[in-house]
Amino acid sequence: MTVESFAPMPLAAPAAPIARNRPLRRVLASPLTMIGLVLVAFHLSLALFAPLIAPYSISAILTDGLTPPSAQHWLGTDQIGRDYLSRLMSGGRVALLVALAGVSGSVLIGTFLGLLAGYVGGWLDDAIMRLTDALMAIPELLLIAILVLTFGKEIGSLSLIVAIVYTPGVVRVVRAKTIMIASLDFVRAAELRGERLGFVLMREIAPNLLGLLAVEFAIRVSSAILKISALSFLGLGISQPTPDWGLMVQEAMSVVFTDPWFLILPAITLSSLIIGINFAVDGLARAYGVTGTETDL
Amino acid sequence: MLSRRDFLAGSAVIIGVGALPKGAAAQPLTDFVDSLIEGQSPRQGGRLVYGNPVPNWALGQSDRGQHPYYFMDIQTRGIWNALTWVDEDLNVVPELAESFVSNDDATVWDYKLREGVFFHDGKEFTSEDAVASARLHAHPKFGGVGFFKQDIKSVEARGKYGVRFHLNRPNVEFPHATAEYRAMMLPARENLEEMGYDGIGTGPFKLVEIDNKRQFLATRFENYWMPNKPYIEELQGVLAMGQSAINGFQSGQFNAIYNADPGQFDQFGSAGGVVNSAPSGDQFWLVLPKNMNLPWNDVRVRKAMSLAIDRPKINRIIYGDPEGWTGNDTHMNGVNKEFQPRAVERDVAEARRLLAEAGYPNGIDLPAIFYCPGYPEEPRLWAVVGESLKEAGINLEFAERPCDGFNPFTMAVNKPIGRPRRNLVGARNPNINLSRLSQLNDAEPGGWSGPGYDRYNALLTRAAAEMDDDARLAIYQEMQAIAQEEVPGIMIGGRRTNVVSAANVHNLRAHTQLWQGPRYESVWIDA
Amino acid sequence: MYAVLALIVRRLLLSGVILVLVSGTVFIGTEILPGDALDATIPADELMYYSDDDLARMRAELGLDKSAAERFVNVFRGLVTFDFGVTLMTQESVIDSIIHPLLNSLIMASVAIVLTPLVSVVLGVWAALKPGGRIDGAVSGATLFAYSMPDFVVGNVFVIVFAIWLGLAPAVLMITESAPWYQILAVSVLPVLALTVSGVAYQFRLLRAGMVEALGSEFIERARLSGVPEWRLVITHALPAALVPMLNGTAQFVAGIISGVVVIEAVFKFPGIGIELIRSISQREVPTVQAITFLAAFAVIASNLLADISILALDPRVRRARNDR
Repeated sequence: MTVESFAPMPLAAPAAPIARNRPLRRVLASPLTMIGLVLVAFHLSLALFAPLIAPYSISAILTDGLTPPSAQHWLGTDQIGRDYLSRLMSGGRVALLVALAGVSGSVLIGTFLGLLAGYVGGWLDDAIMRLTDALMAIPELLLIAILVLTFGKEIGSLSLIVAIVYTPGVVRVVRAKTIMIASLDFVRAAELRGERLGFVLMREIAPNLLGLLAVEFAIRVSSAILKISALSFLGLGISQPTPDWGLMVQEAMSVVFTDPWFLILPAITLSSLIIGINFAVDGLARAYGVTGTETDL
Repeated sequence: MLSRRDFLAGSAVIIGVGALPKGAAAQPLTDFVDSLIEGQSPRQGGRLVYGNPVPNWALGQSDRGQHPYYFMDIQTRGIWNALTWVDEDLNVVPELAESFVSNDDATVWDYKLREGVFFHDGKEFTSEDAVASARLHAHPKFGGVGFFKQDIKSVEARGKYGVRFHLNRPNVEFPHATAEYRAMMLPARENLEEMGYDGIGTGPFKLVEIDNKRQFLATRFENYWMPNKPYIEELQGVLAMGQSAINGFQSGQFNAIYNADPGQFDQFGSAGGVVNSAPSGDQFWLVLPKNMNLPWNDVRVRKAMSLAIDRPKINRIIYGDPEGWTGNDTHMNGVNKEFQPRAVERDVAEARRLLAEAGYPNGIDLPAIFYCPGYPEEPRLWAVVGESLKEAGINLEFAERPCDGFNPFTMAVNKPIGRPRRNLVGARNPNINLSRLSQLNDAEPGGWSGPGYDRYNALLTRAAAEMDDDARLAIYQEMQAIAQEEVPGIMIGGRRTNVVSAANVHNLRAHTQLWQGPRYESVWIDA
Repeated sequence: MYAVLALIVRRLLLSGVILVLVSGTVFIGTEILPGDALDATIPADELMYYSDDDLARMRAELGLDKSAAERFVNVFRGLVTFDFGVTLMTQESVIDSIIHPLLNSLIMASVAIVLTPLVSVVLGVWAALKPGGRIDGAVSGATLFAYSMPDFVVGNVFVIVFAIWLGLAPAVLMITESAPWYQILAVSVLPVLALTVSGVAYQFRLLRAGMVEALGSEFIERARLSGVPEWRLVITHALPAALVPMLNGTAQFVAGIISGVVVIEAVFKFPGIGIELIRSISQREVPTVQAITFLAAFAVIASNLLADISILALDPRVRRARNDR
């Protein structure tokens, strides 16, 4: 690419139309990625429609305690006689909603700050990055926990907390990529044309971050779901009678020797969502050539 | 069993106390212990390790467990003894006392102490220690026994083995108070405030080590006052919440579990455990503050709540115990012979009608009631209560808070009543039970007032001085009727105390008053 | 040599700055910034239980009658001088009440922090010997599975399998908080194992990616053609190259272990700082929460500093690159 070519070009992609089609085909050709996408789609629709398709209400007491699977209750009923299938179907709704809302927020804020830090540089970069370092020095689960102490554990508060906790990671990744892109010719060209800061960031650099951001988004959603479940397991997050897989695992432990399904089912359901996201992300990242993201547990 | 030796000047009256059925003398403690081991040939030695799924109830300060007020669990009798003990039929009998007797109007009580009782440090237990202990327990600031603070005006030594209590009011059931779980006998100290922190008692085991948030270890006290007892060499208690109880039992680390989750009985059974249940146990009382502008200030709303709660369902689902008693909206327990069941068990239609009459035809939202999972099944229990209330259009959330610090949390606001909450209520004698809705208790009536309340208080005073058992029974039943009419708070019902033990552990029995605990003197373990 | 020293001093100063910012974050996180913390932390339907007197008293108790700046200075001064004050409920020294759990967790976490990279490296080398081979597939699959399993499930399953079914470890850790270190270490086996699983899953993925990339480089290809055996290529060339990104991820790795410690301690009821944290959060023991959070961040920053220094030692090129930043 030369200084003379003024059109904004996608990074590391020779020709736009081909670039748009080939990765997608590659994604669809990989069985693991397909499995991942199917799992994610399954969980998303489950979360959306659980109340409509679940056979019973999540809180109604229908039998006198634990019952084995039957024609009325396909997975039996739990310790206080609630339909287990209905609860299992709804067990990811809050965590998924909180993770999606919160991580969306963190990707938006993180991209904005990362772009600024990476492109403007100087003291602004230093300030943003040191704050980021400070936030990231506090282990995620601890940060979530102390913020729950302050903000409470309603859905809105939890989303806000997830947004705060996952922003620094996004800032880092976006900043690194921005520094790389900013040194490329087409950005230099825009600068030479005298485009305003907003234009350069939004029209020249940001479009090239989309693949990266998609991968970041997915990874962090899976991490956030695990963290929210852990929080519920610890008794600091979602509480009764709202069903949550983390909480269900915790409840299951007291009857695990007579009714191991109560441990196995929510554990498998939760990890199938996480595996789904990870397969899908791996495929997408490979297809779009995204590297340098920070995965973490 | 009560000594007829009159050491009270003038004519002494020996009184049948509390739930003691007329004419039936309670069995002395030593006879009770002997009756349990009769025909057995107990083996000396072995180690009893029990898991207790009940959270530490005393603030979790790891360095204060040596004190009976802060001891890891309510089973304080492993290390200490009290003056009296309440037997399995809720009759009070002497423990470190040899006998007790009152004057005519039950305002002065004389206890004769057992001779030859020694503390773990070798010092003899005398009236000096008993007086200092009683003064500590009744002390307005450091004291920890509510019924002592409530009743005791002064206490004095009468020779080396005699103690005299002067009460503020007549109380024919006073010896029940001296059997309370904190009313343990401690070595006297010059300064009351310093008493109790050395972990020294007269009990069957000497405290070796305690981490109050987790566990304690105690070894056999060779100089115990009951000759040749206890049989076991070591006693270890471990707080085992959630799955820890079943995990520890399954893996053989525990050979007993106290207060097991009834939902885990099947698992304990298949792991070789034997469940022993007492006739009754703790109950769950809902404190409803009426000193604020809340819907339940209207008696109709409170009645509707009580009528809507499906108590038999709780017994079926949570306790697998359809025969269990259901709470009668006083602190009386199904096991008390004075217990008066509510007239109607459950009536959702009537509850809805009362709500409509009170101005809530479309249902009602009530403020959250706080509880701490004091027993492992409690979260499930409150879910069932919440659902059954919903059937009558009452939306009420039961919000869980940690047990550690639960009391300060509930009492931090709205003094002296505090937040709407559930209180755990032990099974006791009628006088103590019914006094908890009277003016003697600041919090539990929740600001109940009016003519019914005044009559209730007057009746309590009368009953405490009433020597005739039948007359007292009639008064107690009238008091329960008043409370059921005005529903100052709601009694859900309760659980039967249970103990699960491995097959080779003998005589480990559950007690209705769980802190009267297993009598370790009779417990022995097969090799 | 002088340059390296200057670099280390610079990293030290930077760590100090970050630590200061951490205490600011902890302050904001636990005491919330604008307005009145009480109003913000007490939900509306809760507020009805507080009389004006209650609120005033609580403000005074929590020091909220002072200005935010004044409070911050107090908290800040306490944290950076490691003076954590007294607990709200029992007025005991915070550090005294958490010192034993802290040391116990430190023992457990240190073992996990040392063990995890070792296991990761062994697995990584093993898998990289034949990328795409059966071993690589098995290890990669297993780590992906472990990566997707929540640690609280892994921990609980370990208790059932190793403690109850196989009887290899105690199911309930019957140990006091102030037990000597070797006893703590003895009961830490299963918790550490559970902790290591998720850590290895994460590090192995990082390491494998780095090694496969390095093994595909032209330099290695040339070495391979000249007959250098594969295992030597992996150990002497690919591994060091892949180690640097792993060391760069130290802060996150240690932070991840600390998050894991909280969950694993709750599963095993291990007498450690994670249990204390959960306890103090549910009791709203703000000073204790502040102390634990600050110490956790301190551990992360300190280990990151160590990792930075080892990178300097490991790779002279980085020394120059870092100087530019």
